[in-house]
Amino acid sequence: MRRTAAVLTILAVLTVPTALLWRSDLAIDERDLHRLLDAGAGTRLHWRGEPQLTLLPTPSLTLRGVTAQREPGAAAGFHATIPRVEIALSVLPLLGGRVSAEEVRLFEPDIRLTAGAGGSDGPWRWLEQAGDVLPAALELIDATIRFDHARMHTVHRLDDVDLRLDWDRAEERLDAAGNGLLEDRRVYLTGTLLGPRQAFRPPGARAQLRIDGLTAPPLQAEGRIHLDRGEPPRGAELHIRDGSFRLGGSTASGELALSLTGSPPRVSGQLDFGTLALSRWLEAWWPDDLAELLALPVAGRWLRAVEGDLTLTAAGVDLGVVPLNDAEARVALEDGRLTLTVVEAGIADGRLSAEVSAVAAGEGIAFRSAGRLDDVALAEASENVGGRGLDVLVGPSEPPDGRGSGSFRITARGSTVRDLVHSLAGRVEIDVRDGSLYGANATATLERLLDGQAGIAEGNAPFIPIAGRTYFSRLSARLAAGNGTLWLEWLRLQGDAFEIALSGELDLTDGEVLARGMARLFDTDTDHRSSVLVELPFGVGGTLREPMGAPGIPRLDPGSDRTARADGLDPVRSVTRRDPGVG
Amino acid sequence: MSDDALIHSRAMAAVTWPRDAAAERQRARTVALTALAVFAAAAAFYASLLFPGLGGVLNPGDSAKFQILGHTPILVHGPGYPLVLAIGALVRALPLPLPPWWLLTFVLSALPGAAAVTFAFLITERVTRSVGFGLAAALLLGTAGLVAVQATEAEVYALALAFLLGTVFLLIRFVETRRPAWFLVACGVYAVSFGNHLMMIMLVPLFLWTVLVHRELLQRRYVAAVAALILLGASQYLYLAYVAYDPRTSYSEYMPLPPEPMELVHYVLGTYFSDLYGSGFESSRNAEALLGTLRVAHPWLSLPLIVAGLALTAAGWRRRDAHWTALAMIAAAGLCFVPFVLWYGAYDIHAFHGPVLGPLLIVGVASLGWWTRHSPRLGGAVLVLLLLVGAARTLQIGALLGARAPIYDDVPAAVTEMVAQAPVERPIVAMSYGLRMATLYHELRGELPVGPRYRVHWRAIATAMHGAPVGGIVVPSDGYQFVRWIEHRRPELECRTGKVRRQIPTPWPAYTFECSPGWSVGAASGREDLSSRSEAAPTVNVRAPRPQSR
Repeated sequence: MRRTAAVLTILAVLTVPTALLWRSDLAIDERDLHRLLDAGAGTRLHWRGEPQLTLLPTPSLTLRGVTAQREPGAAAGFHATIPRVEIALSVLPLLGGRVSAEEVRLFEPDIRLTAGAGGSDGPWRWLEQAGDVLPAALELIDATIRFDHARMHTVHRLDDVDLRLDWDRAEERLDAAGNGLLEDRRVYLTGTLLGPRQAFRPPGARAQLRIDGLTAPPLQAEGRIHLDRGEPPRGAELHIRDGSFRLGGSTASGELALSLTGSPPRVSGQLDFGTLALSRWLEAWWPDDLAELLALPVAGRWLRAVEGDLTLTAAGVDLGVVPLNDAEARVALEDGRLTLTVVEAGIADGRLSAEVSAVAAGEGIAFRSAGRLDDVALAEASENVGGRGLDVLVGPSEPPDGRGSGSFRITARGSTVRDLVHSLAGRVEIDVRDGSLYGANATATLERLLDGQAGIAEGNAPFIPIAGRTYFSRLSARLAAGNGTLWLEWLRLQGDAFEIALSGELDLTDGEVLARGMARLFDTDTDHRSSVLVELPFGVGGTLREPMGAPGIPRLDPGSDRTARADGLDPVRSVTRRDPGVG
Repeated sequence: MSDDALIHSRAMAAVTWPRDAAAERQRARTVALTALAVFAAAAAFYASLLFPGLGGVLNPGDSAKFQILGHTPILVHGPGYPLVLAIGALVRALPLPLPPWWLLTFVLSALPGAAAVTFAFLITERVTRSVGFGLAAALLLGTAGLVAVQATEAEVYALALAFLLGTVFLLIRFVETRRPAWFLVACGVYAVSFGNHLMMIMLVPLFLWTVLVHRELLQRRYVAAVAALILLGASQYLYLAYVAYDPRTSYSEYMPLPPEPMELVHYVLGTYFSDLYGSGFESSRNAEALLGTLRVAHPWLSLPLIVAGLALTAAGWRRRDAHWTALAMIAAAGLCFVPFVLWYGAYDIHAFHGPVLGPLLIVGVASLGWWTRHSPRLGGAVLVLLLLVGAARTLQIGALLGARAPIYDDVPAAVTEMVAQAPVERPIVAMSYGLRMATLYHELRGELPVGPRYRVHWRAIATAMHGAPVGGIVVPSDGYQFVRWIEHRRPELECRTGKVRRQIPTPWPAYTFECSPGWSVGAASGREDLSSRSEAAPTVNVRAPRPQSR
């Protein structure tokens, strides 16, 4: 038995080359070759010179200087120049004089894809028929793929691409695996399409896709792809049904429709997120260096690259700092205007509603946003603020307490993050009730002044506010932004026996702070707020990173001055010319 | 048998186990060698992760000030820290080719931190009779957030923790052996610790308990020896007085040099900070801060471990033996400091938490070891878990400590640049505390322009009381309160300010000021009109002029 097998093997080994050598006079019929390759490429191929046939060790065909072109006007045009194409041929058909490709390898192809504006269904027909003529494997080696988008005036390119497609005709299964450089970042792709031809009739073909390297957590998606040829003017559409998407900690399910033949392409559908983990995206994208962050470009061209409308719902949105829950949002992109409407979202035991719109402005983007927060628990909202440096090593600063509401209306425009910061304009209003602030005890500090215990500026010791918590009944503030400056128009902090007012500005360019305030202690034994026991002006300077607070000249018992009381809490009113009344 | 006799007999049974003296000696050798290895490893770990430069994250100003002792004798803030001054003198005497700030931080914090970790090992080993649990305690104490920070930044708290744990270890040895020599050595260490930090007074109840339980210590000779040791500890303040009156002492933060005797007394008593005494009780802040420290020391682990440790210690009362007594003594030592950290209203109250955190972490580990001493499998599993957590935490805390960035790197160049823009010849440079201390470090090394009077804000105003014109730099900007103070104290002067232009990027914006008699507002002197500060609320898109002050 063993001997028989050995003999047969030796015979086979000897027979195939012999047979091939017997057909060494084989001439390739170029029409036959065109029939095979043109159908596979979906367009007419041209090559330089004669195809070069090699029979041993395995039969293969080499073409040089191959070009292929499909004009735009269809869904997508393409132009390819390929210095060398190697086609591994099937032995048995070759012995019969027919050319049948087993594997096609494209060396250093330069492929340019062009987004088209037409509604032709030519490409779809090709896709539908390609399964019959595709080789078992197609490999791109060291390829360059460029994608031109006329409306965006951009060219995206993938360099150093190695990609292999394996087509199992019996199982109708297409596997793809490869990688390439996308703007200096190596991106890895693996995907499977089961029954591609099912994609042309509902419910579509099953597809799986995984992309590594493009985003910090890999993008994974699976679902049913259905290609609907459609009728003009809508044209063909790609539907993803029963889709599920995973990106890092985010999962979503729903349906998407992508109109490929319109101009620009249009996306619509509905996605339902369990948890939308945006913080992982932000962490991956956020530069370590502030200068690097400010220099990040903000291009608005992409707003015209696509249109559509999406409805998004999420049980939870992880923004890193403050989580959102039960969020419902709509994204609409029409005529180059992106509008994100947060219909409603839970935030820190309160509610958030907001609308953000963006349009292309010059090279950059113009943003406009407005919204409001209602009944937010400050302690919960600031729970995750900090979490770096000293907080992590030694112990966290306790968050402020209270329930607050607020509204904002902000605009910005520019082509870099720096431009956006500098052009910030708008207003923010905040109102917090019945809370407390960690750090200093305002009442005890002012009482110490009253006792004459604080030798401010006497040179003996620094004036240090009493550490503790400041409990307040109301904190209200209004901020305005404009011309690279954030103005604190006013801030009032009111407690049982004290009031603090502050106004100033923050230079958004360098973080420099300048503010002045007034702290007042009232006599609670008399008519509330009519009798001021002590006033302490103060200043705040330095930077947002390292703020510097400094006490001014305190006044004791200014109640005798009726004008002072009537002035209310104007923080910029100077009291420097009055006697401080402290030793 | 009375309770005391029962405890004593159990204690003696425990301390004489194992009965084989040779085995006991072998064990002692193993423990000693392991302790040495722990000390060396901890010292190397902390030395490799010292805060990179002047200051630190916990209290940059105080740390920079202590680092000055590495090259120049100065008086720091009250109550004077005579032992720290002596350590500074030692560092200055060491002819090592290392930066003074680095060497001072290493000797003042890294070595004591390593000593504290070693005492954690020794104490836990005594309680559990397990080198493994000792190592787990050393790992968890040494990598606790606060302890690791304090062991790598120039401050007095790593030394305070080392004194505390060393004292408790010696007291435990006394309670185990009943040899008064251990007690006297404990008293000696305790007395010396007062040269480092006066909060050590909070440990007195533990000494009182020890004396009450062991009345033999009330014999006259022991009382006399303890009194002598107290005098020895107190005598460190004579060294402080010596430094205060030594003409080589270059700087004093509060007292004029040489000080009046009563001023020196007030300085030692710390009356400058008396406002803070008791203020911690006025809100829940101090308690929140303490819980925060205990929670963050090892996220998810330290607070439950401490709570479990205290509960297990209390529950062990009915099964108490000599080892349980040691366990209870550590717990008591930690709890002794709780009233202080709740009472003292310091801003950097986290810094004072070491004496609470350290002993209670040890209690957490040691109580687990003590309770599982008869269940080798369970004990082994718990030990492996603790060691794994400790090892992982070592990597994590190493990364966190290594991520700290220098904060006072560019001080000499930045200050020189600012001083060059001063409007008068001998400017006053009013600075925030931390920056002033970093400046002082370089000033005393002769690395800054001579002539400017560098002061912290609260000292700078007094400097402006004489002469005219007076002028200088305020860094960082302070909302123009400094010039208001000058105008208030010297109503004959009017001040003008201008912005300091900075080429060297620092987070300290600054302004120049010049106060002279008879500036007329808006005078055509070529200077900026400083009265034009718009007081009206700004409107969007219209930037108000850069504020000036008058």
